[in-house]
Amino acid sequence: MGRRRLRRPDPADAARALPEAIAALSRTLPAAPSPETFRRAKFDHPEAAPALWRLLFRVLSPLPADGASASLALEAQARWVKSALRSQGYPRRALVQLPDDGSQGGRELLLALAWLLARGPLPERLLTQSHVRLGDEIPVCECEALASPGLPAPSVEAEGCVDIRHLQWLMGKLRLQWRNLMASQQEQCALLGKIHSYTRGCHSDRSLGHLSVTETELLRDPEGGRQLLRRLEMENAQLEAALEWRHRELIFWQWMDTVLDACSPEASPLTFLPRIPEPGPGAARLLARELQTLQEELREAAEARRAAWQAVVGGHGPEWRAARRALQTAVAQDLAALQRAWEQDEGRARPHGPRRLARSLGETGPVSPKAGAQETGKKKTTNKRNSFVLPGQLFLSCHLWLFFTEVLFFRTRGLWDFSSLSRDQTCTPCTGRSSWQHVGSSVFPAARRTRAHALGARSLSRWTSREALLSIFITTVRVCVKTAPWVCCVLRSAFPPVSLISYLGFVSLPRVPPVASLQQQTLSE
Amino acid sequence: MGNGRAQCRRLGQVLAEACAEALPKPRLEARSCAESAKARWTVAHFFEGVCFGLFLSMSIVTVQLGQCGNQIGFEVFDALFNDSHCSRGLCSKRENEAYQASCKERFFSEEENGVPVARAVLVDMEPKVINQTLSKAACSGRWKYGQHSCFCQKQGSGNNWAYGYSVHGPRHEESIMNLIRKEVEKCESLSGFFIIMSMAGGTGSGLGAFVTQNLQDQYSSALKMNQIIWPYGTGEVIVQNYNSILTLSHLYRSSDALLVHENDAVHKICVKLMNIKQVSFCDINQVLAHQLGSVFQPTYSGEGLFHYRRNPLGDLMENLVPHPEFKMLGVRNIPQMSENSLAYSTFTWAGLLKHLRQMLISNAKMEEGIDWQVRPPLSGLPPLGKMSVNKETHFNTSIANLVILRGKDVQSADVGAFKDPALYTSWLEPVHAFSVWKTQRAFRKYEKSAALVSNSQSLVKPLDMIVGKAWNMFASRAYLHQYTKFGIEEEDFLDSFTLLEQVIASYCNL
Repeated sequence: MGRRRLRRPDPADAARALPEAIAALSRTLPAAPSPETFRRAKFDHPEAAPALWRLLFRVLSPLPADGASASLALEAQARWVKSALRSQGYPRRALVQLPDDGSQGGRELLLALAWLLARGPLPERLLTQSHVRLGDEIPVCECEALASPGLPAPSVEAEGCVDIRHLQWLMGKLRLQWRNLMASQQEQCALLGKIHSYTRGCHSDRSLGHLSVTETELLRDPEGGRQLLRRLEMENAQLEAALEWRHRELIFWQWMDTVLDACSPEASPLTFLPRIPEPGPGAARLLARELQTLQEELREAAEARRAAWQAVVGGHGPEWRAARRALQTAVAQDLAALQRAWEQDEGRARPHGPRRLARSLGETGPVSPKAGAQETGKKKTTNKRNSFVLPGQLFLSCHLWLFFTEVLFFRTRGLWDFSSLSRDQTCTPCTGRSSWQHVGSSVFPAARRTRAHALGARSLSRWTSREALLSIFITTVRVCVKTAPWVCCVLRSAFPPVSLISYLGFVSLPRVPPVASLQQQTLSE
Repeated sequence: MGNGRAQCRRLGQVLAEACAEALPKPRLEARSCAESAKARWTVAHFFEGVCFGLFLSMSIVTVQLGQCGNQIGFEVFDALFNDSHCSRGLCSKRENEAYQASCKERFFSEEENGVPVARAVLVDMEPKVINQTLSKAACSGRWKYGQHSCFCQKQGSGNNWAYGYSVHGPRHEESIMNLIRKEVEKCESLSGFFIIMSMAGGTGSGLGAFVTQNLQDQYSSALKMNQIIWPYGTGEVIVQNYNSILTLSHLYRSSDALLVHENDAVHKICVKLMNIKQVSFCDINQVLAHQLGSVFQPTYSGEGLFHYRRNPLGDLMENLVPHPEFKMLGVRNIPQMSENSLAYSTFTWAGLLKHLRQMLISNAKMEEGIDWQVRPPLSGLPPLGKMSVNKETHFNTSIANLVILRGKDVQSADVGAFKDPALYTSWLEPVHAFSVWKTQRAFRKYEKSAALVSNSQSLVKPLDMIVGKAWNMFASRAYLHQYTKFGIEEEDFLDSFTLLEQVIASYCNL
């Protein structure tokens, strides 16, 4: 039965599949536009346009949209979207020709969105942006952020000439603001250090040893805890939607083909060509020729000098030549060694992007596995490293899973009550223990297991168990991916969107690499 | 609130111990209820402390140099402290507390016994003034200087700038900078330095320039504001003009802003407004401290916002001295009067601001004797034409102004008159050039008061005069050997002259 279905899909099913795919997509995107908007956009209905302009604005803006930028006028948003798309190399001219007031252009916008989706891991990027951060993160290496093209620089058309002193004034203002920013950052570091040192020993994870700001806030403010939970749930929903979207992607693209067909080809001269700077009136060519002659002159001069030098040095005889050869081989060997080391380094997963900030524990705390691994030096093989990492990964993943199931579980039973933390209330007798201990006890798989056993898996709601399964799956995949690249290959061949899942593993769980003995160098205590 | 701070620190330690003990051990279930309740209570208190800490303002470290600097420094701290503990704040209790906390965090740190300690470093080459200052502060009993925050020697600089700069400076560099570092380390967050010194003496000016330069090297991202006291025109010291140009030119290179007070102007205020017959330095310093206090006490961080500005020094500089060639600031305030007459006076915001504006454009230092004939030039004129008109009418063109209003009904005060483009140079719009800070809380005993910090042409004339006098002396090589003896050569003088001439020219060509 099921087989036949696979082979020849029910037309009703197909009809339902498309809206579901689009719904999954729209749930993945920020602000979740209704699937109906997409349908209207296909037929270029004007009522779909404003929503899509706004959607593109949020998708393209490099920071998670805050109130200020989201409240920009539609016209400004439309202009911004156009210039951002242009700077990213979007080729269709029809988009640029749309009116700035944001009243038209549903279909073009749909195409632009599809272009962005097809171009790179857009949902993944958006999910990273909106991911709930539980730890205090610090970017280790910002090469990615630096390499990204960033915003098109806003430019102000100056009328007439500008007084240089005005520019100096603005420049000075910028410089002072920069210094203010630095002072604030230093202050932030100091406060962060304070929170970390005051909460030392509070964290359930001994390799971290202290609470992060979010966790501290969680304990301080019960309402904040509930909000965090809501945000986590929202993120979970988004992740689910992303997963679903990946499954149904194909249907969407087929539909997009029909959208493209709907565009009348004669409507616009299709694409931009990359602009080649027109040669000025011979100036550039002249410059190039001058440059070339200069280079030739330089080469000639260098050759002559080198020949003269060699003639001088050449007279030193055979022992000098031997010494030179020895030197050359030594240099070549060094270079090769360096290259090998470099290639080995390449293979290692280098930290990129934000990492959780963790105060090093000093001599009393347990030494993190990675730190030990690094001390053993270069000779360690990759396998050995993995064997070091794996227990930590497993432990952490298990711990995190248990923590989250506990959160979800207690939420459903109304037991996860942070308000009992406030000092005015006495210990809640219903549980017999304080909530503080709940938080603490989540470290101990043993304790947790007994309780979970006692309560029975049945009492978990359907939603929770699905979540848990997803979580287990993601965890497993993540561990596998970390452990052995070949598992990843096998999985990838068997299951295309594995990259997304491994990614999801990163997103849905707080980033706590077991190697996180990142020194807080910025904190001078 | 400072109390909360210390408490938070102690509780933090208790908490850390409690948590380290209580949590990661499997014997958790066996622990008694009471213990966990205690831990919870500690946690709650700790967070309260942290929370308060987050909203306090950034600190300023004051460096008092020389006789003048130390005397003024004391008056400033006293004025700040007395104002923040003044009972007649004319505002709600809660707001008063926030105001106090903000002021205290900025200028004072707290010691074990709860007495606030000024965030200040006292430096002088003679022990007399420092001892006086310390004992005065101790006598007040309400605040004090740190025990180990002063540095003094047995021998002064003899009004020789070169001696302060090239002999005392390098010799005591390490100990002075160490003192400053210790003070900086006490701050949760450092906004910048406030360096009080005279311009014409030896220790304050020479050593002050040296210390400022060192601060610039070591704390290049912290802000530095120098409060300098302009000497009397009829000098106390024969070489005061030399000292002044050397100080000014060196500070122009290393400091971010120079807040200038002229002895002559403040003296006049004492005589005319305060009705003091025999004006002493103490009176002058009190007026000066009053002006500084009205600038640096907390103000709201924005229109309609009711929390206090976190980094007033940074904000002030951002508004007034972003341009590296225009760093000289003058302060005017209104009303200023003796306590006796204050009781019989009432003010309106409109009247105060009208006077203040006229004081600005006619370059008057006080509300008495304002020239009401001066009018801003018609804004249609080209810059050159404007300049010649200015010369005739003595109109004082501003680069940037900051008005600070304190007191009752401050939200109703209208500062529109200061936003007139004719007041400012042609290359800066009033949006960039003018800002206003407000707070409902009255300053000292004044129900309403306004202060104006302005970066304007007003200091060009005295500067020009000093440079002229110094040049005349320099041309005849008078007293130069006193300076060359300690390594300040003619070349250095010429550099200073060049720099100051350029400053004068830039201010003239607004």
